[in-house]
Amino acid sequence: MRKVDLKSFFEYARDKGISSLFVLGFLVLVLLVLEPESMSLSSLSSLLDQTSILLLLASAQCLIILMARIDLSNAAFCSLLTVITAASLNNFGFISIPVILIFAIFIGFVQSWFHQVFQVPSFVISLAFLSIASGIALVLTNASTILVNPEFNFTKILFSSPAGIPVSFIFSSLIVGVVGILLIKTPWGRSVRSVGFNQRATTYSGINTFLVISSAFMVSSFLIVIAAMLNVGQLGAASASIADSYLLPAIASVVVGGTSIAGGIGGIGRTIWGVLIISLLRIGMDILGINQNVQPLVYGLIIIFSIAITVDRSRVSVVA
Amino acid sequence: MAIRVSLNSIDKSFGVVHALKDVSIKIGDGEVIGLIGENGAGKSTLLKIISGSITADSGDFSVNNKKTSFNSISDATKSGISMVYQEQSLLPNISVAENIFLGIEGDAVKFGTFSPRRIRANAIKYLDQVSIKVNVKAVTEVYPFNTRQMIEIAKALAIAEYSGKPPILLLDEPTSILSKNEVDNLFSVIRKIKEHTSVVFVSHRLEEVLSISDRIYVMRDGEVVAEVDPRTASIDELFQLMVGRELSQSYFQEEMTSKPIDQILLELKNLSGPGFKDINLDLKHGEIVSILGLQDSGRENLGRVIFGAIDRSSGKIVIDGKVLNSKNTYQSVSRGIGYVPSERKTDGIILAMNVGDNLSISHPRNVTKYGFLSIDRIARLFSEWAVKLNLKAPSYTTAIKSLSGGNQQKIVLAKWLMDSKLKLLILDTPTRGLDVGAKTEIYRILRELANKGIGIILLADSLEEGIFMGHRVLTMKDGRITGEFASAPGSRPQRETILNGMV
Repeated sequence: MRKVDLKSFFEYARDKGISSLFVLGFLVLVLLVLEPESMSLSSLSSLLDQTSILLLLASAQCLIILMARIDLSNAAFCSLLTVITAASLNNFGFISIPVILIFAIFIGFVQSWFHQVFQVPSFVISLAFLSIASGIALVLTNASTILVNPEFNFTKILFSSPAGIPVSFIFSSLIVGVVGILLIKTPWGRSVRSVGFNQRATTYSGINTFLVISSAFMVSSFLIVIAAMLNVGQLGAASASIADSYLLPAIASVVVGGTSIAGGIGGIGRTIWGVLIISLLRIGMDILGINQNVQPLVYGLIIIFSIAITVDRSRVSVVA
Repeated sequence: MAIRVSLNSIDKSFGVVHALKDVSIKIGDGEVIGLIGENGAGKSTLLKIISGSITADSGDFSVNNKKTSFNSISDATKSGISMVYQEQSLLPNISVAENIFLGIEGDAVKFGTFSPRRIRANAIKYLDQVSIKVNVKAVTEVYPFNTRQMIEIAKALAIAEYSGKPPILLLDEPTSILSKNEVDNLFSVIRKIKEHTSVVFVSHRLEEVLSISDRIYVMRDGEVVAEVDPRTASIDELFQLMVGRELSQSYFQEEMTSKPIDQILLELKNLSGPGFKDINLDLKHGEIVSILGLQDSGRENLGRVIFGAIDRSSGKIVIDGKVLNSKNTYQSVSRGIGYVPSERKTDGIILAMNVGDNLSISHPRNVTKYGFLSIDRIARLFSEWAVKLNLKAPSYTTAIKSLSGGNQQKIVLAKWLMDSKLKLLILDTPTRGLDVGAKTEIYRILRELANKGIGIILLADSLEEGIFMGHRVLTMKDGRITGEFASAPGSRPQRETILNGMV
């Protein structure tokens, strides 16, 4: 009898999208018990500081996954945009910022255009874009690092932490938050989810699915370019593969947070919890002094565990 | 006669919905039990309990004189119970023989690998029982729907017999999309397998239930309201028991027929598209045109092209004198066209969303405030349409998948009806799979729309529906219009004439 109650409790939590909170709570608890000092304000602040870019990239990915698609070019595109931002700041100054914003959003449209008009699965088209973006970034940098002229360290302010609160985190949370609200509260957001549930029925309901999918790709690109600009500000330098390593953590954040890879279910709120889990996991293992060689193993096990309790496996389907 | 299955005082609730109340039924050896009731009456729930896919909350359930409680479908099949679903469960891309023995390969498996030859021989044995000749080596999807249905029944027999006990077959609306001949064929199969098999037969077509059953249970609102002997009962009696009121003279709501307005709404000029060619049609405001045709007549794609869901290859569509060049459904909707697809569950509604979202998805401006969705407005919209269309749904937050087919279809209709600029509604077999009561209600809604001057293209589900609903009946064959017949109360075209145009 008791077992059944536990099961329905988990199902309830999963439906409400809060089961990832248990994982997060569990991680915090482990850290508190084993390393009480680690939970100080300053270390939390630095945790959030390092979270901004992952948060933006994971949210960008979340939009695409909500439509039952995937964007493998997410992180590589961010690397390319970081390189472009650094190079054009040095050459053209601040004027390049709005131009790069528009360029990034346009590329998002181009990707969705190829995806839809030629009906190439997103998995394939984004794999191609990943390769193209990495290639261009390598050519632009000549495989070396571009240093940003110090007079353009404009975004340094974003990485200050007045009163212990990292500005970059607040900044990216605000942007992500707005996207999250649009997703929940507008007909556009509802259409994005409904495309994820059933694109055919959405078309038959008279919704312009081409526009919905394109715009979601464009918003996703917008989040990616913001991440790229933060990257430039934080590091003051750019190299061709600077953000590439974010690809899998970003996907993991979305899924661990409880957004269904089959589309439709989930959103930015859940993704934020996922991002915190993934960040805490990486930093926490360092704090606890877990052997570097063992870390990937622990990381993998915890991801399996979180997905087991957050993902609704009754709705399994293939990524388009 | 030995009792195979007996249910006593079965109760089942889903949340607040009391799906089955104190239901008791018995299935005897070699008996054909008819089970009728409107959508939502509890027939499906009852079948699911017998077939083991859900468990009753309370009550006694015994099979083969042993008290049981099935925890899974495989528990039920071990007692010889096997269900044939409305949505077919055959895998399209494996052979017929493999489908029949999927998971029950049994003596065809030797040393962990199975012998295709043996499987084929066994398959032929079961296919003979259902009197069809198919190539058991062929991939299943090459066969038409009715043949696949027979394969499905053969498969159910194989599964049930695998238990070593005489089979009990549960047939959930097996005739809903079969032609008259195909139904006759199915019935002769049922009469044949009856010798060693018990059958539960669910159908909306009362005359069929009367002709095939040995005993009929009538369900209404989760209860068994009557047990009827088909030798003495009539269709009217059954209908009355089922819906709790009398079969009105005008099942098709003929007394509501109105005259079309003498003004052209839609013109199709030499319209061609995938599967149809050179279609010319004028539709007036307030006119209902039924189009009748077989599977490959091209009528489905004609409807989809007018709605903009698929591209035309040539020709013109004119609405109220203005050319419609839509390349997508969105543009058509903004010109006042609505479309009800035939596959309700996969195309008509978004099964995973709630009632409110499905209701307002096509015209979100009805539920927004400053561009944001307003819960208040969704709730109000829901109550408004719940009253207008007599919708049986507890709230706008209810999952749409928990509603009956008729109520789901009403929501699909409502999402177009709420458009104040709606001019043209295209309906692809809107009453398929609905019960008699729900059908009449859909007919009433269509008549009201025509009264208001909305033009309707109805791709009718049955000859009668097409003939009795239309001001005009068109027949299509091989992508072309083959006949046009005026139709009015009292002077309806003959079935035979229409059929001639279709085949």
